[in-house]
Amino acid sequence: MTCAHVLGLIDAEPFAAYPQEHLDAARAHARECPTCGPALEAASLMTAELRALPGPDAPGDLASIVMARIAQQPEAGSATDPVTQRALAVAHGRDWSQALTALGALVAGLALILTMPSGTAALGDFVTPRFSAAAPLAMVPSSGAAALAIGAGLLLYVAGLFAPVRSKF
Amino acid sequence: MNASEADVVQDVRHGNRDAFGRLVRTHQSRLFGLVMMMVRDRSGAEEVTQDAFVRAFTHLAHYDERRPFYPWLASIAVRLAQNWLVARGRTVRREGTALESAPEPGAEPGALSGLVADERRRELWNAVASLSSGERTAVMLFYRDEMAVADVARALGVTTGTIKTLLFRARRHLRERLGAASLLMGDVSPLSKDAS
Repeated sequence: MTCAHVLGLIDAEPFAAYPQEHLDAARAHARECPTCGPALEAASLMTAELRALPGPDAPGDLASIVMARIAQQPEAGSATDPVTQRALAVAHGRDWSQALTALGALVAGLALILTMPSGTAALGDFVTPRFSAAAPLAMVPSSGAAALAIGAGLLLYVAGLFAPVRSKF
Repeated sequence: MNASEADVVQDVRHGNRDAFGRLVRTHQSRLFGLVMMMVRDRSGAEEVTQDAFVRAFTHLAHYDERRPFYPWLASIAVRLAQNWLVARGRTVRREGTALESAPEPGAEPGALSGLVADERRRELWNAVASLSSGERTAVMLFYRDEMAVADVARALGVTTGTIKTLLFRARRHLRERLGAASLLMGDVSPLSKDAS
């Protein structure tokens, strides 16, 4: 272990998760080294002083001003800014609406797969003549049961997308 | 969060808003010091600190009691301080002063020194205040406020790796600055004086 390694390790030790054996090796090196020994001592003192770093005193009337402002607020936790409210509402409503969306997509996808004719030549059979011109964009199955399944799947999908999001707040 | 602080939060949530005053008194000095170090302007720091407490009160429903209160409060203050600095920058631009030539609020670290009484502590405070914005905020949150690296990263909206880099660089810069100052004063060990 070189002095450069030890000095780097000393600097990063307070916040880096080094293996204990590295730290022990660095300390053993520092005990013997005329360069690293004082550096380790200075680094330890710097850490201690930074932890004890004083700050300017807060203004004497800060607490009273804050409490006066709080007295004018609605209840605790009643945040009113719309951005935060919307973010929270989405966060709370996300679980079930996403599940519904996923379920709808799964049902629609499964129905499509099960009713899909094998081979590309059968595309004309899959699409009604009325919509054949728009086949790549809107594929409507000829089977009534499949159409019902896909319709239900799409309905669930759209419901999931546009489901009203409820908020506890 | 310790038990008594959790009780206070519960009291506040149940409608006892005066109980919030205990949280304010407990954390005001620490929070004011952090904000002061960030914005380096006393009136701005007062404004941001007040806003942080009010915001914490109005958003108390979002606070997770299983976590310590101060890191959550500090993350609010950090974002408000960043907003304050951005707004300050906009004002400077609107008034037609080139941002590069406009002094950062309290950019002269000595401007803060009058607020810290003890000479040795003032020297250290000034050294920290002369660091870059990210470095000094990370130093305050990690060392002085004893927040975990992950909490500091969350408060600043960056990765833990970024925080470690900031702290590593900050220590290097502090050692250089304090070392130079101590050599000028004839002291071989930069941090040995008054260390306890």
